[in-house]
Amino acid sequence: MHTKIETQGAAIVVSPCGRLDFAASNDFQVQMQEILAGSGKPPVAVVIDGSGMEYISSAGLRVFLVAARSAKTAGTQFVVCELTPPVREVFEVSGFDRILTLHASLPEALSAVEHATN
Amino acid sequence: LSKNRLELLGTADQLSVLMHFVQRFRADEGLSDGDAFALELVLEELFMNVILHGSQGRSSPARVAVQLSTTTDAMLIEVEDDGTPFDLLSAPAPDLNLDLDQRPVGGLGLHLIREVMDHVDYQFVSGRNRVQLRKTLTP
Repeated sequence: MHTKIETQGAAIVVSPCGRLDFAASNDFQVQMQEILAGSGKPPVAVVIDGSGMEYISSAGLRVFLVAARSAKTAGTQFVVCELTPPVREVFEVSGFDRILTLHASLPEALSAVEHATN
Repeated sequence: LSKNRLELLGTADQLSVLMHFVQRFRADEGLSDGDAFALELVLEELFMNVILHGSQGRSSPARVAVQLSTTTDAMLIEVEDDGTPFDLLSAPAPDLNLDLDQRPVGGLGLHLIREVMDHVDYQFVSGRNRVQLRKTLTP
């Protein structure tokens, strides 16, 4: 798996591409910790673009749970968007659609983040 | 040895070997994307479960055997290991209504297995854990 990271307005958009399985989850966890720590101060918002995520297991879900908690503590908005149908199903079956903010599209997620910031 | 049987050591570096095996089975059987996703997910969760629980109190990793087959309308999965006895059906279901701060980190793997499969059976036979699973194939 590789991860693309870019800044769009006030948000850092993180796009994990490939399979978020046990083998990939440790690296992704470290990346998310670094992103959420920010350089000096925590970012205003982090948007996870899931459009390139083909697969996720419980090890991947764990990274989302830990990241969402860290974000909440730091006052960083944390939203997830563009989940592929099978990955979205794993989120739903695990009840993650209740504890995370999911948006259908990236523009929708960015707009929600923008509104909350202003 | 059947072509759909794989034996491997219960160590994390073997997960890629297991996934390669699944990919080949998927291609041979022409599984749909959804069925293949379910198969990969269930095997990863079962395998990681053996690594986490099966090696407790042992000096060497558990040995794991995976057997896959299909019938006209279902796929059948059997995973055996010689690790510490662990009945995955006895694990409590997670409380999905807890909020973000209260959700335990972990415990979702077994839940996913039970959700994704249509039938899960556990037995401890001749010193081995045996999990048998069945999922109706997407028509």
